[in-house]
Amino acid sequence: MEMKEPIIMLKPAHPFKSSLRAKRSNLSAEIAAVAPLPRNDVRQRGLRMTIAIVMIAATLPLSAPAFAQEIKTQETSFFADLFNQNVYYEGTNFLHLDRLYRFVAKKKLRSLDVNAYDEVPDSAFFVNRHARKPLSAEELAKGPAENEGPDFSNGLTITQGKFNGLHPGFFIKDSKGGAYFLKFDSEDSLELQTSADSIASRFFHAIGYSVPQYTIATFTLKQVSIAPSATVYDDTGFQKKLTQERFEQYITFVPQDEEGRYRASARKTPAGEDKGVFRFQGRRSADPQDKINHDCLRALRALRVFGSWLGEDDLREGNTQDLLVSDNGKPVLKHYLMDFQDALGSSSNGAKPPMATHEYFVDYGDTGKAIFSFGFWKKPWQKRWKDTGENLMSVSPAVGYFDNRYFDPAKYKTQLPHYAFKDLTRADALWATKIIMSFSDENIRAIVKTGKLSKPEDSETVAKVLIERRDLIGKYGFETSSPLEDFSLQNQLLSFKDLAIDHKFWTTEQTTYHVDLVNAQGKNLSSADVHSPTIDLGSSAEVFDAVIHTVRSGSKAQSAHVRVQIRSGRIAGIIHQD
Amino acid sequence: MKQKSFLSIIRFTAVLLLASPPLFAQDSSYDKYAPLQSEPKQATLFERSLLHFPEYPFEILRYPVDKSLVYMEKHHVMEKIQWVYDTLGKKGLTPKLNLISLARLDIGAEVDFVRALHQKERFPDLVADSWIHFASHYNFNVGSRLGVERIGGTGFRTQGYFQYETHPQEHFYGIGPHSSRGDGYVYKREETNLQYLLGYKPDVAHSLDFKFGYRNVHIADGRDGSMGRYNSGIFNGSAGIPGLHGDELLVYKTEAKRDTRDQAGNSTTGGLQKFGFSYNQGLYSSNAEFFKYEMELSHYFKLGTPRRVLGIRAYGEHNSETNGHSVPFHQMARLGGYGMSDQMSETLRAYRYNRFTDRSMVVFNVEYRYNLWEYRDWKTDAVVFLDSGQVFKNFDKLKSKNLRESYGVGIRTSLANVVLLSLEMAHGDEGTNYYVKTSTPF
Repeated sequence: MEMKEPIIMLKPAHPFKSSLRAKRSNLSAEIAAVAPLPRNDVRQRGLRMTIAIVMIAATLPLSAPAFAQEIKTQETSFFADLFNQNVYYEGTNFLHLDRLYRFVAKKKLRSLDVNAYDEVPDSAFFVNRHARKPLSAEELAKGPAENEGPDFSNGLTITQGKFNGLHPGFFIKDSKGGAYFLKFDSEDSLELQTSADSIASRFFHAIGYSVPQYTIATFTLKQVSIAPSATVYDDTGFQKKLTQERFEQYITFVPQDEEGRYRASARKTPAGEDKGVFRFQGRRSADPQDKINHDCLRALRALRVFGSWLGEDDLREGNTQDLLVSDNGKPVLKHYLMDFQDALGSSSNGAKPPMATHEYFVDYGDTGKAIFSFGFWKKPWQKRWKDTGENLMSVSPAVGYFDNRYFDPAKYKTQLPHYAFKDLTRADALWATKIIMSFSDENIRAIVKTGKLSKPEDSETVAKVLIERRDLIGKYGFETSSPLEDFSLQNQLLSFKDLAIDHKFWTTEQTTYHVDLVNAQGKNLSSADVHSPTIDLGSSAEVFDAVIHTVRSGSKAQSAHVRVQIRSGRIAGIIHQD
Repeated sequence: MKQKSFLSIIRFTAVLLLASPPLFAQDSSYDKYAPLQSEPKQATLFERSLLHFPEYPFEILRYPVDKSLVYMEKHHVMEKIQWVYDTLGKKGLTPKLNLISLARLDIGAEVDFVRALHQKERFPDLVADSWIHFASHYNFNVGSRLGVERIGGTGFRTQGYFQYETHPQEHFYGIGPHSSRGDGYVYKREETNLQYLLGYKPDVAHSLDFKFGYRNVHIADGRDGSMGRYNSGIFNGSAGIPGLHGDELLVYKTEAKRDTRDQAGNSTTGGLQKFGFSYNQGLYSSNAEFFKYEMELSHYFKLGTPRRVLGIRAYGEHNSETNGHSVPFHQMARLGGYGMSDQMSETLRAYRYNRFTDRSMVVFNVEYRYNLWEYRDWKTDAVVFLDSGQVFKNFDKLKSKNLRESYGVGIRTSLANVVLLSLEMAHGDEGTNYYVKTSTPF
């Protein structure tokens, strides 16, 4: 079932409207303060209320365009992202005194978009979907799709072209007026990039992010016509008219299937006014709903974990989009992730390069190690590369470079190092792990099927890698935290579920829960080791917090604790250790 | 009344139901996905400004770079530059840009007339090109070449060649291995070369060339505030430096070459073997007459992987005067500096360019190159090197104690094995030198 997107009421930002808001507030205060009122006053009050409501209503239509104007379009580019994240912020990292302090004091910065129960409530960035209520196979496969993709029955028209090396792309319109952007596979890897777009976008959607609709479209040249006004920025960098001859020249490098059809990933242009990208740090001050610095958003930090699962390493500002949409007449800024051609075993130029997901684009740490080892330290990606016979397509051209050799959830790296990803805490990772573990084998297969890989064994390979990787992430994430869930308090008995046992990573026999009961002053009232997921809080009314450490015999990982806050005999909060 | 009582009961029941969880404290179910109850506490804009204050001076630098990069991508600036470069290349004009040092660029262009006249397909073996290079206070070079490669598909080739070059700041420290760096002099060298080549090149790797040429070398006063001037100190007529006023020479040269390197500038495998022998005869008032022997051997070894390469090189040169004539100082073996091309002083990186001059020279270079980072065709390698060499008059003067050593480290970034930037630091007896280059010494 599709969860409803959050509705965000945006405040009018114009000074006039602010003063109006203040007046309205004063008005309400006055009304509340005076009671009971004589009849005349009641009339007056009614009149004033009516005037106030009319005035507020009158400003609403004004407030939307004013807000739309205030939200400026933010731009970036690959090289700007590269410079900012990989050069500038890496260099000025410790000039932020708060960051320097945290580094010296070994403190973590807790995510701020979490509620009392350590979960991320729905927001403009994230909507709880599959983890909240498992989606059916049909819902997973549908993803954010509003339709079946471009309608080729009456042909389609290319409105604009985009050419990048040997990789063309076309903006099209179908006979139903739907606008799409078509992207293709690389010459030597039919199905690779198009399936990555389709599969990864659906995973991100099911997880909880806003993504555009991606569908796989197949067509012949006969079904395509070019609008007279169509232009293209070709490899000369100059805008030119897109002629039939030029179009055929570009499409020459696009691989065709055995029946001579072209296969494309069709991204439906989402509705809304494009406001550019969203930043991975800071926030849009003009958006009153954007209250938390983005590097403190768990939803954003956890992209590193979701990226590691899906092999998506090109998570950067350039692959995001902010869209100003109207929700029941109110302007809302929605934050989208887009462009998933770098997911799974794919990259935008073909199979994923061997160093991707193991190193940042410029990796100072690994480069430093290489310098001082005089080239004799073998990087993990080099070992993996050797194991695969230095062949990017050792499995299949449609799968690309995708396996779990040397996969380590803790060491997964996106192309660019973002503060948000570096600030990921154990609590953030646990949250992401829980969501990933909510996908069953069948769920994964249902989504992989949407990649429409022609060989069933290719689909099975992708699914198997994802299933295996899910479990690797699950084991690691649950081992380094206290993955205790669904707490309940009945008759002074605190019970819970242990996700690591539920998912069979550990057994009950291997598990001990070390419990500290603490009073309001932080004083330890009692401690105990228990072996079952039920803790007797005793008769003391003093118990304020129950702090539980999960200890697994045979595990080398240092587990974090979970603090259950108990107030007035109720569970008032849950805090996983960062 | 009954109605009122009924309403009161309903109200009471509703209140009781709403208040029941805290009262009974038995069922503690909660909404895990409840919205945020209050605005999270985080640093205010003012606090954040204070905490990030040390970064702000750098932000002034970041902002324009960020905006420029966005502008470049949005307006396809790189594609336009690439297109201009490619289009010029197709029309036979290739712009050239080389970094000689951090503050000095070599700007130039090469014109391929066969391409410019759209005759490349018709005459694929015809060579007709010209070039011009300029680096302020360093070099001006202009030349042309006309010839045919693979005459009738046989591998024989012939070329005519003209070049004029001027070096306004050539340095000279005296002749011999014990010259002093304090005795540095500066002069200007102008050289005009006319040459005819007849050769045989059966394949890409092998060649045997015979060259006949005329060379006019003019020596004049150079300018460098920190150096002694031409015609002063040891650098004057009375000191017996041969060739002080320049020379006109006829050159007869034979050169055999075997080049199996995979990339001339940044090789990972193969090697170069080159042997040259020439007879040089002075014309008119020149007293020069000598034989020049040159030998260069280099090889590149992969150490288990192409990411670790050991490059070794040996170079030897001997100039032997005949019939009581002399070898002009400007044609002698020269040692010191970064190297890079045949016309330059040989590689001894911790010493200055042209630091040692004599009739003979040997130099050995060893470089261990290992990969630090790579992404598709981009690579950054580290290099650890040792150069050792000496100049000497005759072979009986070749002494191991006179060898000058130079060692150092560097980092090189390349794209598709073409070096884009090389940063090197070399240390030796006379101090430390730093290099910023767009090439490798061998």
